[in-house]
Amino acid sequence: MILFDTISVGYESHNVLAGLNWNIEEGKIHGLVGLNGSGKTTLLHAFYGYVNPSSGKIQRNNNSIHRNVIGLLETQNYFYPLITGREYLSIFPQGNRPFSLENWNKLFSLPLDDLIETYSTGMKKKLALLGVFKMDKEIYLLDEPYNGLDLESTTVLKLILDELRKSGKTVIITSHVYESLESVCDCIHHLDNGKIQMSYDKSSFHVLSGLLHKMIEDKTSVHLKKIFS
Amino acid sequence: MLKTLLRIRVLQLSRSLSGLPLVYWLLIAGGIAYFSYGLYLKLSDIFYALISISVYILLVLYIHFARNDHRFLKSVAFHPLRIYLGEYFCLSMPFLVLLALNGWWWLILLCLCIWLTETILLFFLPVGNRGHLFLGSRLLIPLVPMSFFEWRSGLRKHGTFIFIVYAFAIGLSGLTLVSLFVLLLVSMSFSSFYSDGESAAVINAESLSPQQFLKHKLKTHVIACTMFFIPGLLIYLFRHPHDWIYVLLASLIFIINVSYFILIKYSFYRPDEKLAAGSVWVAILFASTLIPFLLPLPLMIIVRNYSVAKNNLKLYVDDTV
Repeated sequence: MILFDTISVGYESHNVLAGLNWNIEEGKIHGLVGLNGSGKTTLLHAFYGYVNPSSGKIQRNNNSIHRNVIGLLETQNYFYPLITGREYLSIFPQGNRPFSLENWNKLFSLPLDDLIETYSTGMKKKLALLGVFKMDKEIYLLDEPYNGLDLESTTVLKLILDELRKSGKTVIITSHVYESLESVCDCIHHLDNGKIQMSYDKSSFHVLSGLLHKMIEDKTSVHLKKIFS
Repeated sequence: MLKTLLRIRVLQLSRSLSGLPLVYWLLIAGGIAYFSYGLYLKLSDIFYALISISVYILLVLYIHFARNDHRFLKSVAFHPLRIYLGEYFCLSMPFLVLLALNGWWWLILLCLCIWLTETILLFFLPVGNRGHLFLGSRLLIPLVPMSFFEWRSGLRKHGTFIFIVYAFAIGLSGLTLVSLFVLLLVSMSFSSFYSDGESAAVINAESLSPQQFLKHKLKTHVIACTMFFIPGLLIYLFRHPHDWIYVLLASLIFIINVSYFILIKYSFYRPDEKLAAGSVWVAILFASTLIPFLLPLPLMIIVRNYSVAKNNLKLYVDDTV
């Protein structure tokens, strides 16, 4: 069990996470949804240690958590200029599980010997995913992994996530496309106002979907009327 | 992992130079040889040896603030500090060899202590999306008009470095020419301001022809650059009035530098893309400033690249004005 205990993170005067409490059951795939700016990325960064919470603690089975058990896929990934995909992947240390690049690349079909500058957005995302999976961590934080992926790669990623679940890994995914989470997650957690408002299991995903749509409609309808009246 | 990264650095360098014509290769090789020999001779003097160590400190500081792989290294390396130590040590190697050839063993020891201390201190500085918004950036950014997006973006990234080095230049203004050289380093760091191509919509915003666009850009940025360096130059001039010719020369070099960066940017401009081989062009400019017989080279490149930039922009700018 991973426990977030009253985590607060602020940038300048703005509090992004405000005393957030969250329990994550391990060995499952967790979705994290929230509107733009709700703090999904900040929450993942706090988990990974990129930002230091101003208060609260994150623990795993009552012990502090170390970065070396976590693999993070950022929304926008960094690539060194003028290197090939194969060279990029050589930077990532191999985890305990043997990593056959040839086999993995059969899933993604990347031109690994081409310069990364020639890759499309989706290809770059797939390359970054390969790097993260190569490290074979116990916990994966995937921030918008579906961004830029085509239908085939989206399906492949879902199948990979299923395999990760079977091997007992814990995965936290954020996505702007709610439907992409529904098909793969065991639980989806709703982040709003700096807190996890509610967690939903598979049987109640439709409730969260309805709630999100209602929230967005309420928020925008007044403004839309002003614009189009 | 350090070995892998160093190998990648070598590959990056060789790929960025691979498209250069032979004459540039010869110029670069000649420049390096000339600069190394000149530095070797100068290092026999303790004064210049200490100044060179200061430049090394600033160089590491600049590279550390300029690099944008901090988070990547944190997520990939088990011991990121070792990566920084290894890379900055490799950077100091040629300098350490020149010190050794001059028999400055205690200076080598000093340099190693500085390398270790500086790298460890920098490693523990907060980095990230907002990590560079220290005092320097906070003070400088409000002074820059909104239309100077390259400067605002560059200062967000390198403002702290620029602020520290500028303060360093003013602090050293009592020493002959040193302050001007440090200001030259600041002007070189402006190259990073012009390393990313904005979207075509930004270029088209004022519906100017390529020629008008370039003239306007050059004029406004040269004025901004002059205003930026005036305080440092005036303080130096106040303390060394007889050096007015060097101050004038430095002002000209700063203006040439900023014009050079702008014209190189738009000569190779592609919307929303990073400038290809930008570091090579900066290296050519830097070598030209240090090696007397190469001094006219940036001017020649400016003249040549004005029309190159104009033609390149025709692809992206509405040329019906």
